[in-house]
Amino acid sequence: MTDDTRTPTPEPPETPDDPEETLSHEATLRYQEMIRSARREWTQQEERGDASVQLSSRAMDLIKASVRAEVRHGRQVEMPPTAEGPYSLSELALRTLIRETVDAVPGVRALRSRVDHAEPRGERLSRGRPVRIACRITASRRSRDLPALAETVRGAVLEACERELDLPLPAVDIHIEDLHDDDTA
Amino acid sequence: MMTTPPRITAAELVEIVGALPGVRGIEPGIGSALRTIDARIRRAGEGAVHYGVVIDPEAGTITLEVGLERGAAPVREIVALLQRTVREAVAADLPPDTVIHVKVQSLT
Repeated sequence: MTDDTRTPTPEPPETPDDPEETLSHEATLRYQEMIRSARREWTQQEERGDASVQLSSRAMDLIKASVRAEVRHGRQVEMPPTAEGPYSLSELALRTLIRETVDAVPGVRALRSRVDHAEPRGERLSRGRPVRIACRITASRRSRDLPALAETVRGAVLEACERELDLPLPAVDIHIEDLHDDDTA
Repeated sequence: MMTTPPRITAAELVEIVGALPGVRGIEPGIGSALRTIDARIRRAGEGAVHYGVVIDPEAGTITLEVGLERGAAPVREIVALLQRTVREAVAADLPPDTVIHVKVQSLT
């Protein structure tokens, strides 16, 4: 047994086998190099007292706000086009529509929803049309017929998707997760 | 093929879109916000991009990012009105087959 105390030579980063992953890997490396290069250039400019690299505080605020908005919106979900052209809805907007529809049913409160999507047809990173919506809800303790209540919620979600989005849905699942007292709902 | 920039500007479309019933406001994502700031810094292409509105004559598309008012009318009707209005506004500048893509960012 030998005791090798030399510092090991770092292995070069592995390149993935999958072509798509390779493209992503290369894009990541290019992005990291771009950041390194920009940092070097900006540091040098700042050391020379060159203020041209500084964005106004207003522009910085806008960038920060738009990043926060992007996170809030989530991805765009493809919808059936109108007669005038294509449109899409953010995941946030779709969740809002579902939640408000569920909340509008007497004795029901929305907890959370999950949407399954078809394969996207358009932009990269967008989501395809919804094919299944699962709603988790809480029902009033006064509800006497929970299956009928679930059916009412299912009908309301289907109707809202058809009316608001012209989106026929193959499946809406309702799961009653909890019961609530009306005064605490 | 070089395409002549449209005379109507993205900033003008922002005004038109924002005045439509059911439209709560322009709501840009990070992409159009950064493109707007980039165009300002470079002083190039400012007419074609403004927060939430991107006119791309080469691709034949106009992208609008908006927040809509919940309950004013069905979402798809507001979207169709928006697309129709913008199509009429750019009719003199862009081909009739220009694709107008609306991204609904929020319902409030």
